Amino acid sequence: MSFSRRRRLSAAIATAVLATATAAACGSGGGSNGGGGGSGPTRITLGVIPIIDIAPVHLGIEKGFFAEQNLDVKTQNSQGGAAIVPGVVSGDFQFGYSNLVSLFIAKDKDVPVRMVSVGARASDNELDDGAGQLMAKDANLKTVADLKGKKVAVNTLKGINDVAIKSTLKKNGVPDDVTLVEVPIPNMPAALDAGQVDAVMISEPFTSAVEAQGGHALPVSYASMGHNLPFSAWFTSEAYAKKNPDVVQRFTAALEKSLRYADAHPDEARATLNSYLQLNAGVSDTVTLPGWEPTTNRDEVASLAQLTVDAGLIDNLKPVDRLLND
Amino acid sequence: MDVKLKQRGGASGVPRAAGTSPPEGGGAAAGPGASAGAPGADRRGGRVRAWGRAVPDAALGVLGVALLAGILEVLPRVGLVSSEYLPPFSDMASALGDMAGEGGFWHAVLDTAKGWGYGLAVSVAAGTVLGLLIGSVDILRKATASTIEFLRPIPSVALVPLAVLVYGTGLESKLLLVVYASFWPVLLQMLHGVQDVDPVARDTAACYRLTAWARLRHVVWPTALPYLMTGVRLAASVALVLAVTAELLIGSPGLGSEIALAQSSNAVPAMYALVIVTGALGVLVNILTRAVEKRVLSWHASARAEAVA
Amino acid sequence: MRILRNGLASLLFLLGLPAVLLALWWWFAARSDNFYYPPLDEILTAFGDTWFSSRIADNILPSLARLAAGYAGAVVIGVALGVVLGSHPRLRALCEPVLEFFRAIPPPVLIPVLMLFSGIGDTMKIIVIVTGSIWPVLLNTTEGVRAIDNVLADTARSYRITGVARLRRLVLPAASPQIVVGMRQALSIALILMVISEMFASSNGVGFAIVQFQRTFAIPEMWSGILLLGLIGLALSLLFQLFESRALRWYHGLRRSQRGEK
Repeated sequence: MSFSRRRRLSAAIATAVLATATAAACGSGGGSNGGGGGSGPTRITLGVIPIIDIAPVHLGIEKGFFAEQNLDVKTQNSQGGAAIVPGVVSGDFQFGYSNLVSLFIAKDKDVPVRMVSVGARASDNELDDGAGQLMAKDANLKTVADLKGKKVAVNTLKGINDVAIKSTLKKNGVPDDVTLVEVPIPNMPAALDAGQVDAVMISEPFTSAVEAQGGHALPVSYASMGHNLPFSAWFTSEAYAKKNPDVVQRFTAALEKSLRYADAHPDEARATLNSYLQLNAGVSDTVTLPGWEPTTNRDEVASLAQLTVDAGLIDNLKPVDRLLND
Repeated sequence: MDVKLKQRGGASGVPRAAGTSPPEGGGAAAGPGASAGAPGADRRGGRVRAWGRAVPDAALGVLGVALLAGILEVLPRVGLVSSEYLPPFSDMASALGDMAGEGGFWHAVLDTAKGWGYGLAVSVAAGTVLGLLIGSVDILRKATASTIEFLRPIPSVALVPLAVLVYGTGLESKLLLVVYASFWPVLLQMLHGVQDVDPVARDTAACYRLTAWARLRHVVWPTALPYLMTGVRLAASVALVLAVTAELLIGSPGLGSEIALAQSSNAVPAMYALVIVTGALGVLVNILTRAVEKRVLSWHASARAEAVA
Repeated sequence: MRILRNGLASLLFLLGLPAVLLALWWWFAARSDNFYYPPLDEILTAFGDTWFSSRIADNILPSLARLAAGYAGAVVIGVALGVVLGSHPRLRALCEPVLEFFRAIPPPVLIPVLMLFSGIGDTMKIIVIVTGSIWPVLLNTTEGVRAIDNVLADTARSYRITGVARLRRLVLPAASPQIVVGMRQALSIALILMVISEMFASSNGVGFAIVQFQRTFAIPEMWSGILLLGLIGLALSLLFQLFESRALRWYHGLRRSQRGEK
């Protein structure tokens, strides 16, 4: 989907006259081709975050699973949803990666996105989840009840980490008396060290780093929302899905094959990490990987949505069906 | 202010020789102001030095950088900060050495330089033209003042989703953010420059019935040029900061996205090495823009007083 | 009568173009079906609902307090350092590359480093504002002090005016037009950095709110926050003009007489 000339202009005027100057200077950006009507493979760009969870895509590219489906896949790193979601909506990315809670909220606000596949799953151990694990250094901070009145760092407020922490407190009957502050994940070990926060909701490779400095896990994690629960997804825009159903279908097939393969061959998935991250030597052998089993159903997705409703981030479960079917 | 010491020629007193930086034009440019004389700049007509010219300025500059490196080396070694979060300078340097051997790194530097160069070119062109136009027409100047003040403090960063939506995540988005931030210093400096035209020259030009074009070329342009050059220098450093910021947030290829990748991989020394490269680029940009300024203004006896409007 | 007319005219100038731009936005956005460009009336409604409630105390006031502290810090430190660097050319040569180096480091990269030293509280945010907005003050002051008239400097020397008295009666007045230019530039940068600093490790503030809205896809609210920033910027700029016309009255008079204006 590419922008109509007029809408592009209105956008430019709405912001500033400058945008037009830029547009004039560099022609049009906007949507790249996604149709793939011509010969050769269909070129698609994925909006991703440089984290461990997306290893299957890189593995699938290496293994040729996408080429099998006549797809030429490129990934582009982003800092997060602020760029990935608008990138997918505008057609600059054909697909994007996001945690599911953000997608529920987006759907609740009528952002035209559609889920195409599971992204990654929580582990089955509350004390060992690579994608989201609460860690602390204070020896007196061991149980969920100890969190009362404490300050906890999360990388984004009003998102999946709120849901993980609030739902676990609720499950354990602990009053929600925890202060959440935003700290970027790479800065969490330092903040914890300096005592600026009492605990951090952190992910790999930083979980291992905190552990190495004598930190320990608390039973609050993505796994404590539900064992093996899918917490993230690959998504596309409604417009792209309507226009290119066959590309979506081929991409989903290749992606699911990659996810299954990565889930079954953790060693190969680990080896892939070093191809797209700059991990320190040896880290890729020890990090905790998420699960990647792609088969899912509405109920599984809805159980996370229910926790999101309970945390007060969305009103009802409507976004689930819309995310799956719009 | 109880004592008014009379000044000759406004605020900056003595006329300085050609080749030194012209005084700042006023104007609330969205960027750092004038900077001190370039290392090694020839300052004929400068003041008497406290201690001779034994050491050239450039060498002193190098010494300053060395001191900074020394401080960075010592801080973690004496345990003021954990070396895990701020590694000693030697670690950063060796990470930089590793990086310099890779093609990807130079690609990133080039991508950042491209974003900076194109963005700056657009800003300077747009700022100059609009500045001349708005500055020369009184009613336009009055009518746009409030809008300019309204738009200027809006951080480029807040425009990220918008940029991505309109231009995707490639070079165009980066340019939008770079241009949005670096356009203001150029525009404002230009406005002040046009304001500063000598009334006598203006009246003379009117008497001789010079065409608008000739007036622009021979009266307005020479006056405004030093102001413009200052604006360009300000814009140059702002553009660099924004190019890297855009890469960091949007993920367009460049030093910024490399920094983001290093951060999320917990590759701390590599992250600092990239930050050092960014800073070094800043020093380079400063030297470059000063050299350009010096060339362009070689005819200009920088003795105009600042206009603080 | 004339006063009234002038007042009306300046009001018209103040609001004329913004009104036209808003009308354009209104017209275009009403025709756009894009999620990220809600119609203007939605934004304005969101503006009222968002910022005229408890958020003023929760977000705007803390932001402005940090802005004031950071800006004051930038001005004080910038002028002090600028006077020192402006009077010692060798010291200036020593420091310039280092200063240029730090100036080129983008705030989002600098913030994590600053967190190591100053934590994640308000101190960090104020320091971020200072590190970003000190440059125009510092560099303009340096330049202003460098340019002090030789005759004046010699006069002061022969009258043995030194130290604090020299600073108060010669250096600062002579450099004040330049310092004010720097202060003015610093103001808008300080505002931008206020927003950026609140995008990290925050729990309140205008910047924090904008990011929050962006993340939760509350797009009209996000735009209303950007609108608010513009308004704050405009208000601060008007305030500053007031301050400037008072502080530099002598200088403007001098300039006008030099230019043969009344």
